[in-house]
Amino acid sequence: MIQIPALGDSLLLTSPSILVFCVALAIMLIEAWARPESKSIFWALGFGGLLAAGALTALVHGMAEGGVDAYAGMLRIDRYGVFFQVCAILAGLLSLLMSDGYLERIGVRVGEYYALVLFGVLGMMLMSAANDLMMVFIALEVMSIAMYVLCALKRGDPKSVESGFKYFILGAFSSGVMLYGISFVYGAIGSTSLQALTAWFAAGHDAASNSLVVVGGGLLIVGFGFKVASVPFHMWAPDVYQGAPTSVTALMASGVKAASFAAFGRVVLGAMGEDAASWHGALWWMSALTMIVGNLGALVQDDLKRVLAYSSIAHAGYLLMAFVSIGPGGLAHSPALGSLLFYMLSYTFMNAGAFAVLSMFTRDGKDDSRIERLAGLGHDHPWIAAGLSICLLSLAGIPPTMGFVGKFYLFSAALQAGERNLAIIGAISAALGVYYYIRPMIWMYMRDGHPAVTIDRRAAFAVALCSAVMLILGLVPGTALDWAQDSLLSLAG
Amino acid sequence: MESVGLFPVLAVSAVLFATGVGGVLTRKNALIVFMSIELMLNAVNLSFVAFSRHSGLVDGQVFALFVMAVAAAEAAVGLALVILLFRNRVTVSLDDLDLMKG
Repeated sequence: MIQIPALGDSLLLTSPSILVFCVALAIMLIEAWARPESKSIFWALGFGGLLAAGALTALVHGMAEGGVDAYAGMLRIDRYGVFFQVCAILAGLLSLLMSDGYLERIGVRVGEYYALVLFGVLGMMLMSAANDLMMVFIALEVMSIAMYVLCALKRGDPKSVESGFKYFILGAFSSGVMLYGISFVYGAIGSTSLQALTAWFAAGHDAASNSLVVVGGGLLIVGFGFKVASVPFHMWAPDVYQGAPTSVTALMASGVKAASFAAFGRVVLGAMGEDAASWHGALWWMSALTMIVGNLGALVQDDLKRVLAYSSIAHAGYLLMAFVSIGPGGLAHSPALGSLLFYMLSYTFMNAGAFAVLSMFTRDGKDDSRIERLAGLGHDHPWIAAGLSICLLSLAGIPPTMGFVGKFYLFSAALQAGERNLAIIGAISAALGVYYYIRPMIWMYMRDGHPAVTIDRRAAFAVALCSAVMLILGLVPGTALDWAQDSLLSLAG
Repeated sequence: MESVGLFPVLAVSAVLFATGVGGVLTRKNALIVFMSIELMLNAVNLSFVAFSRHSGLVDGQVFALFVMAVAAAEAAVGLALVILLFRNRVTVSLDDLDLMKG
């Protein structure tokens, strides 16, 4: 007799995702049938829908204290998942804030944009909660397919199309690699559930299935490596980030990365735990190379979107450090790794803030994000310049910003775990990186000029919000740090 | 009925997958690269079904169906992107995708 689990509970637990899904469908239907002249209704629907989903998530968070399985273990609603769902919703909200005016300026203000953003956020939310490798794959595709289309949204712009196409080819390729890994894991343990994987590690196992899991896990890591843009699987990121519409790049850099790290973390930190030692060397090199290549690559860029793309590669390296730093005894003994989640949250804000400023730089319906365009911004628009400076300082990890706190705890977690060399490599490359974060500030404040910038109220609000959060959580990070640590420990069960 | 063992099926799947990866890495035509990706996904399906039959658990076959559904969705978007690319550039060669450098 098959036990039928209570569907009602599952529906309730996933109500935020269901809400986002319904709003996205509603937007598509309204666009198809009513064809409203003004697209503002879509913005309002999308923004309101995400806000409501955020509120629902807070309620569900209360329900799922210790972590509850939904849909027969396909999803697991726990604090860890909820934390990343909040990141995804925030990324969606911030991206929507800068979207409306920006899309108007580049001439692609269409209803399906908002629906696709919501579908993307839906995929991120499911990915954060996915507790089964198959579910990770499906959620990943829900997110990625929406992103492929969003990247190529400017149909007449060869750069945008090229960006969407490159993202598609490499995304589909990496999904294939990841799936092959999943099939190996399935072959070895007879299930794709992450709990089964943990149980399999705990029980004794023979050499044949062990090698299958090692190879399968390796392929999974390669697949995730593509998604989070870590070296040597990072080549797509700069082109895709540069070509995509800026509001989409913001969503990709913050939301997609957070969701990919959520699933990556649930597999490596949650399911593999201390047994991730089999892949320790691979992850170590990935982390070290990602930090070095990301920071060195950014030094020579002249387009700010490209600088931020390389910076996002470098940040993937810092975050990967947490995966290497899991010590013996598993998560329960490495609470310092909560810094991974804290950093992800701060990363969402600082990236979205910087991209919100960039979204105001358009000329003749095209992005115009070359660094010299910033000249004189500090004089003409001191508040926008200040906001961008705070975001850049936070990305560079300079106190008193949230980025500094995050980096500090990430590096100290690595040191605690005895990863001294990795922490040194990270610190040196981060120090190098300060140069390319300061360079835009030199243009803003020390060069004369009148930047052709369109001040967009909603985008400016996004910048203000992000910089306020950066400063406040940089000065009093306690609550957010505790929340991040609690959330991480909910993975340990 | 005589049944084939696990290993030969996995070997075929591995060869298919390697062919797909090789195609993605070496071919320059967007459509052929796209076909190679589909080949990889089919190799995965074969491997899922083989493991499923070997272990007697049906989940693997269900996963193969999921993969097919997702691959179909991906193909729809992918082919639309190829058409878009051709309209913009009148080429589908990956060598020509070099608008962004630095």
